[in-house]
Amino acid sequence: MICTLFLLLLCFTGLPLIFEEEIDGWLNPTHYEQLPANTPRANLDPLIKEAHRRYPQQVITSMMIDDDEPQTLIFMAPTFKPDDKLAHSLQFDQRTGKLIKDNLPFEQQPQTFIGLMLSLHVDLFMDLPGELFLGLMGILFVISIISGIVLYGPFMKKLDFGTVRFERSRRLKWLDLHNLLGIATAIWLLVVGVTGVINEMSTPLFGLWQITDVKHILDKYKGSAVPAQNQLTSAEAAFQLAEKTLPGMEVTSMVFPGNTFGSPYHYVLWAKGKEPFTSRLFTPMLIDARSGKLSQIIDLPGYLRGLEVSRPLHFGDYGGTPLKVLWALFDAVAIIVLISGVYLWVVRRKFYEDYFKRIEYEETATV
Amino acid sequence: MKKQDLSVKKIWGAPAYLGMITLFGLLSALLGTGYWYPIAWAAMTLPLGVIIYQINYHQKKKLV
Repeated sequence: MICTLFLLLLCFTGLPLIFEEEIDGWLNPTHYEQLPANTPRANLDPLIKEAHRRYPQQVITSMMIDDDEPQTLIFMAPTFKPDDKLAHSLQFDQRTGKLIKDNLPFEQQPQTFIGLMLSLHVDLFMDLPGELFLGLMGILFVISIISGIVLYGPFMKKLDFGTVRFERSRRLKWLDLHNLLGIATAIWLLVVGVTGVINEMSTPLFGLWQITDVKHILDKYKGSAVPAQNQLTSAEAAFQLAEKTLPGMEVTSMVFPGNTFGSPYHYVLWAKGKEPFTSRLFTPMLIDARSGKLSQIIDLPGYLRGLEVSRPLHFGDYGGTPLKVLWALFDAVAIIVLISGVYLWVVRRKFYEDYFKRIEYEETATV
Repeated sequence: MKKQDLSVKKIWGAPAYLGMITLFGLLSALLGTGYWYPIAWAAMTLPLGVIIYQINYHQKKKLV
């Protein structure tokens, strides 16, 4: 019963998140200079210089070279600690290299609508424990769908598919509606439920990868110190080397040496494919941050590939706006199925309670 | 034996078709591009269309 409330919370907060990009672009629009579509990307090194000039005491933790909007974000903080309260970002125009916005630290930014929905949907403001808790709720969601499918059989023995007995009691009408809506959307519910659970596992899965594969790779380089940021080789050169090494892919982010989610000695560049499906599959690459030479292209393990494929199947953001609208409609059906499920459960409990009361009453009456 | 088979088909036939069509729609937009998008949209619209059709049909039947 309580867990149905959490499932409803997931369905309701998920609804606006389907249109996350549209809503965010509408509430917090960035106005980019109008430039021809084929304007080349600006050199990354001057952007880094500008970031250091503005915050000489801070380190650059990573960079994002957006493939969606013409922006490059530089992430900085006083330290490499992942939860540094002063972590912030600088937004540059990717083509002109001009600073667009020097953002406040993430902790001090006002809560946005989408941010609030995301927290309620993903971790209830509790990071990993919240993620695991909602992941557990997701598992219960999947179990309840499966049990619903199993119960569908006996309920439908004497009924044609899709029968809704509007002429009968309210309970039967809603039982039929619950069955029809649930069974018609069952596969979508299962896919979104299972991929949601997998997405909630992303922190532990990446953690597992870090302490196994990544650790194994970095052991070879053990002993050398983290290079200071003014000793780093050109980020632009590393970026170009990565794109040259992986033709047909584009680099969208660069993790600087020293970052907890990177390597102490390398730039970690994340490249992805350009086709709709391959753009969901990332390939990380290590480039020595002192020599600028390619160290290694890393093959992601199967469980991270599974996670990558789970993302679009949960978000519904991979088939244009009509698919997003369909996602919202399916979500609305899911909400009706959940609420009618609770209603049926309450009514049936009341039915048995009344039944036992009556028996009790009749027994005492006959004595 | 044969009677049982019929009832299994009667109960699970339509749900199985809808499930397969949904799965087909989900995957065709993921793996394909271009004309696969409208195919995916059509496939995913079908289960929702069936819901609306059935509700409409049975509501009208009640009025008759």
